[in-house]
Parts: sequence; C-alpha cells; structure tokens
Amino acid sequence: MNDLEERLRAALDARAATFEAGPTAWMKVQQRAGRRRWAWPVLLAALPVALVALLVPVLLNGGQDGQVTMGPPPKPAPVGEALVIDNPAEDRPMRLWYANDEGGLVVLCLTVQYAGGSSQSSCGDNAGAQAMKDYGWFEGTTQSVPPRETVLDYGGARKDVAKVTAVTKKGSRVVGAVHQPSGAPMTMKIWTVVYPATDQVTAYEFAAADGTLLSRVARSVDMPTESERGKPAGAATDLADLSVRPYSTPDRTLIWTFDGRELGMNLVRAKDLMRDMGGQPMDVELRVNGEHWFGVARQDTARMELIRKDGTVLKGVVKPDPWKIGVRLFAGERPFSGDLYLEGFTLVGYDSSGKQLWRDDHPADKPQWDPHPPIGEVVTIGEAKVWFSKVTLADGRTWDGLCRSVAGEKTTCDAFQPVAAGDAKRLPDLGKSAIGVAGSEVTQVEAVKSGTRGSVYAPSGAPLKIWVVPNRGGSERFALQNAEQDTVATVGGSAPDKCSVSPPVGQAAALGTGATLTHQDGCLIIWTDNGRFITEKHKIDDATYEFRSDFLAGYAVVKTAKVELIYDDGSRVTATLTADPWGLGLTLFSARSTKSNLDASVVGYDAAGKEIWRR
Amino acid sequence: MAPAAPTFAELFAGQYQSLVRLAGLLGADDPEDIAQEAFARLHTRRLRDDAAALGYLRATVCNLTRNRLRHLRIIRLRRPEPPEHARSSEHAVIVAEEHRELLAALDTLPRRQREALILRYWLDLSEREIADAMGVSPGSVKTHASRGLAALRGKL
Repeated sequence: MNDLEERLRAALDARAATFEAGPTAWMKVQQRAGRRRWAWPVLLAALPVALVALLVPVLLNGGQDGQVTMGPPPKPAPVGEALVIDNPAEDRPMRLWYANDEGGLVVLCLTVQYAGGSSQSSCGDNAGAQAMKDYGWFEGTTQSVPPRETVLDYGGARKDVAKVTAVTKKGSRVVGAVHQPSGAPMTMKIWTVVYPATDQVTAYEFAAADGTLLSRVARSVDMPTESERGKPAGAATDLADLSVRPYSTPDRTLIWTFDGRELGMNLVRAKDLMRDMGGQPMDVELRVNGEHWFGVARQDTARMELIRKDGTVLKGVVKPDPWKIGVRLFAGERPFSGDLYLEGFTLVGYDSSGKQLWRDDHPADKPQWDPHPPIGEVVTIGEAKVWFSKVTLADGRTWDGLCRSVAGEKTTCDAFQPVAAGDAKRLPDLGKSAIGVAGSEVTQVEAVKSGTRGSVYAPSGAPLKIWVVPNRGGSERFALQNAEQDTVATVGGSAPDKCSVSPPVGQAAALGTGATLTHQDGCLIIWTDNGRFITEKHKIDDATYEFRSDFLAGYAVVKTAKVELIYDDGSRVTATLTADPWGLGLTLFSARSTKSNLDASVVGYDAAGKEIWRR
Repeated sequence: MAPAAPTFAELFAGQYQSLVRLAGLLGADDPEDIAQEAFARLHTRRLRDDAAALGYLRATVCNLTRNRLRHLRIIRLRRPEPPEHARSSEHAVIVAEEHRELLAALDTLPRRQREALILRYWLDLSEREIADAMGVSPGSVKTHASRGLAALRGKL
C-alpha cells in the first residue's frame, strides 16, 4: 500500500470515529420496522415504549458447527441464577435472569431461541425501580409475527409475591408460575404466564402466599395483527383448513388464517416475487405454524410433498392463486407433535405430469444452546416433557439426570447414580404421578397396594427407561417387572425428597473448612471435601449446622453476628462468618474443631453480644 | 457446517455503529437515520440467504445516502443553504489537522469515486462486495477507485 492509500485509510478512520450511534437506536429501528411487515422473528420484548427504549441487543456466541452447546454464559452476566424456562411459543428453552446494566441498574433479561436456529436477547428497564413502585410488573412477551399458538408473558416481582394470575378480556383467569432465582438482587422474583394466543390478557394480579391480593397491573400491550394494519386487496380463498387473502400492508402480502387466527404471511409484491434478496429465483416460500404448513410455490407446481426425516410423506393441497399474482398456493397439516425444523425435512414440487420440478432441503436444525441437552428422545407425559441429560453438580462432577419441563415452568433435572439393567429408581413425583428410571430389562410397572398399572417408556437413543404410575399420594410401592412379568425391582415408600436427587448446580459458598454450602430450588445443602452432601434443609428457622470430628459448618438467621463452639471443658472456638451469596438473609459459619473427644454446644449471638440461639 | 447466520439483533449489535459511520463518511446529514432505515427495511425482508443481510444493509445505506444527497441538492437549489458535505464545527475540531486536506479533497470527488474509495479503504471490501454495495459491475469498481485515487493525488 502506498503512502496516499495509508493516509486515506487513516483519514477515513478519523472521520468515521466522529459518527457515534445513539443509545435509543434499537428502539427507533423497532418502531420503524413495527409499522411495516416483519419477516424476521420478532420478539415484543418489554413494551410499552418507555421500556423499549432501554432494550439492548446482546451478541451471542454459540451455534458453531451445528453442535448443541450447554449454552454460552448469558450476557450481561447474571446476578443470581439464570432460569431456564420451557418456551411453548417456540418449543425451545429460553433464559430469564437479572443482571446489572452498564449503568449498574438492575434489569431483567431474556434470551429466546427460534425455530430455524436464531436467538435474540434483550434486557428491560430498571427493574429495581419497578420493584420500589409495585409488587409485580410486566416486562415482555413472546408474542410474535407471525403469531404462535401459545404466548408466554413474563415480568418481575417482589419477594412477597407468591402467585400471579392473568385476567383475560373474556374474564377467564390463567394462573402463572412465580420463580425465585437463587441469588437474585433484592431477592426479586420472576413470573411467567402461558396462555393461548387467541386470549387477550388485560391485567395481572399478584398475590401473597396466603392469597391476599397485593396488586393488579393492567396489560395494555397488544400487537396489531397484519390484517389490522393492512387493507384487503382481494377476496379470501380456502385451502385445506386454512384461509388466505391478499392485503396491502402497503406491500402486497398474503395473510394466512386458521379459524380467524393469523398463522403467517407471504410477501408477494411484483418486483421481487419468488426471489431471494440476491435476486435469485426461489421455488418455494414455506411457513410452518403449529400443525399447519403452507405458503407459496412456483407457478408451475401442481403437486407438493413434505418428506419427514423418517421418510413419512405428507401431501399438501396445491391451488392456483385466484388473484393472478403468479404463484401456487399450498397448505397441509402435520399430524404429529414436535418441531419440524429440529428433525429436518424436505419439500418437493412436481408438475402436472408428475415430474419433479424442484426440491428444497431443510437439514435438521439444532438449538443454538440448551443447558440440558437431551440424550435420546424427549417423551411427552401429560403436559410435561421428560428427557435424559447430564447434570453438572456444584463440585464439577457429572451425574446422569432426568429432566422435566412444563410450558412456562422452570426446567429441572433430577440427578441419580447408575441404574443396572434389572433395577429402578424413584424420583420426585411428576404432578400426580410417581415417576422414575429403570434399566433395560424392565417392561412393566404396577403399584403394589392399589394395583394401578403404569407405563414404561423406552425413549429411542436414551440410556435408560422411564416408568410412570398415577399415584394418589401417600405411601405406595411400585413393582417393576420384566417381559416375563417377574418383578425385578421394587421401589417406593414415599417419593424421594427433591433435595436428595437434585444436587444443586448453582453458586456455592466456600466456608473455609473444606465445606461448601449450596442453595437451589429451596434446597440448602452442606457439602464436604469429598463432594457428598451431608445435610439439607427446605425451611430456614434459626440455625442448622453439621458438626463433625474435625469441623463445624452451618447457617443461621440473619441477626446472628457471632457463632461460638463451646466445649464441655469451657474452651471456646469462634467460627468464621461468611456472607450468604444468595440473598436469603442467612449467616454462614464454619470452624475447625480441635477437641474431637469432647461434646460441645454451638451458640449464636446478635450484634450486641446477646445469645440468640444455642444448640 | 458453517456457523449459524446471525440473528437480526446480532446483526444490529455488530453492525449498527459501522453502518452509521459508513453513512456519515458517504456524506449523510443524519447518518443514524440512514442506518436505522436500512435495518428497518432489512427487517421486512424474508431472506433466503441470511448471510446476505450485511451486503443488503451496506447497499441500502449507499442507496439511501445517495437519495438523501440528491434530495438535499434539490432543496439547496431552491434555498441555497449549507454547502455539500459541510461538516459541523465539532467534526472539524475532532478530525485532526493532518487529515483535513485529504478529506476535503475526497469530498470534492464525484459520487461513485468517493463511494468506491470509502468502501475499499475504510471497510476493506472486495471488488465484488463494493460492486454489490454500489449497485455497479465489479469491473467498474476498479475504474472508479483508481480514478478516485489519481484525482486525490492531483489535488494534494
């Protein structure tokens, strides 16, 4: 490069640096684009406008080489636990977490993944300020264009909130879920509500654990449909169960509806009809929404097939467009659940003589990240999805796990140790059913007392089987049988404690004596050096500790300012106090025990030196 | 397998600033307006090849800036106000003295030569990419760029 070129480069760099992007750019782009047709998946994160102003798009890594990763750490860095929630709108996991923005304000962030492999992250407004004003508040929704069958709304709440209920325009009420992310700032909670896209939510009610209504918040955000934004530009025509009609939005657009509900659209303006952005001709423009696949194809297409990964052929209905646009309309149904894009498929078009005209391959698409990637097939049991995965424990070890998710609920995984071919384990109940894992020899299951027969699932590609039996509660035993109806294992009694099978995966507090304390999903567990948990607790009263021959470790109420180990001979050891990293208001303590042959008391004092508890 | 195509938000996060600067360098009086309009237009497009999105954005910024400058010229013909490529005093202060003469010479070049030089020497684009952004043939890119450089050399 010569001197002039170098000077030119430097001069351009210097001038370029004088043009800065404004902080509200993202909002302005969304506002501009919101007035038009959306072709990219759109997430209506955090409306109203005041909230949109502070949306920050976040660059994600992930999705490399088609590998499903556990997921890049959420950005901005979470303060407390990043929840993984089952997003029914996209049938993929999403994340919700609190973080600090660049200005240090607490914000609620989310990452959503879309069918097709893309993902989008955004953070809302000052959640800390919201929490000062109200018990609960709306942050955003998965409503999108084209609309999905199910919508998930989410928001934040103060720690006093135990229940959230969405009130619809028709007057019906939808109960949501309230989550407590471990370590969230100000012990703030996150709520989610899942409802059909055909419902219109007008308000949210936030209630305390005893049912007392704490606040009611109106929801004024609703996305106008494309047909509401545009003007009809022709009569509607029916295709399979769908209806399609041209609109001017202002570009000529075909809008597809099912039972009056918009499913999707195809842009069909003349200047780039059936052409991609590079100007190259396209054979087909497919849309998939729920059980329907539809769209537009080349005008000479007379017949269409959708071929699934397993070779199943689904035939679509093909029809000329009555508006002389110059395309063929097609629509079909897919009588199966699951994500078409995740398993991969091929579209094939034929002419009227049966000759293949074109072929459009969609290789299997994997989510960019999944904190609990399935090992084998995902099984649907009632409203829950259940699958095997690996669980990384707080100390870094990996156990086998059985994960479960329900739309809008936090995904959880129960860890278990190896199960032999003729053995079984029971895990915490799944709703009103007993559930567990079983080895390969198990083919049937039955409740011993009630005689209720259950089901044994053998997910393809999974390391073990899953057994499920409807259970009315109480003590019951379950007989696992082989193909000869011989009982090979019996498990049961009471369902295992959630804490005993869900070793925490979250942040651990090192207590300085080789012990660590973890907290996740209400389980407080003290771990020793060798990684085995030695005690656990759901409800925090005054103090709990573990006293071994060589150490003392535990946690106590927040008023505790000093903890002493007092031996029977009168000698004392003062414990080291550690801050509680989860915002539970606890005092964590630990001490080396020097006189293992003596009994001792453990005593807690307040800041004034007054004894407040003794064990 | 190739890395996944960027999402709209990823494109925005990664490219918005750069496109504002491109619009500014091309002479837009409101570079942010141009860049935002380009992203809004992209959002309405259904792309078969998502990887083409960045090229589309660049081409849109070039087009919109060109249209804007044409519009401003017409306005000026009616109401002779700020001179073309007039930079604010703030810009003049910020850009170092050593670059001012060269940039002033660049601003006097014909539009296509100026675009070719900016896309080549600021964005480091290939001839093919420059051609796509400018909406011209790859062969003419070289011509515009070499003539632009020669003209600059003559003015300095």
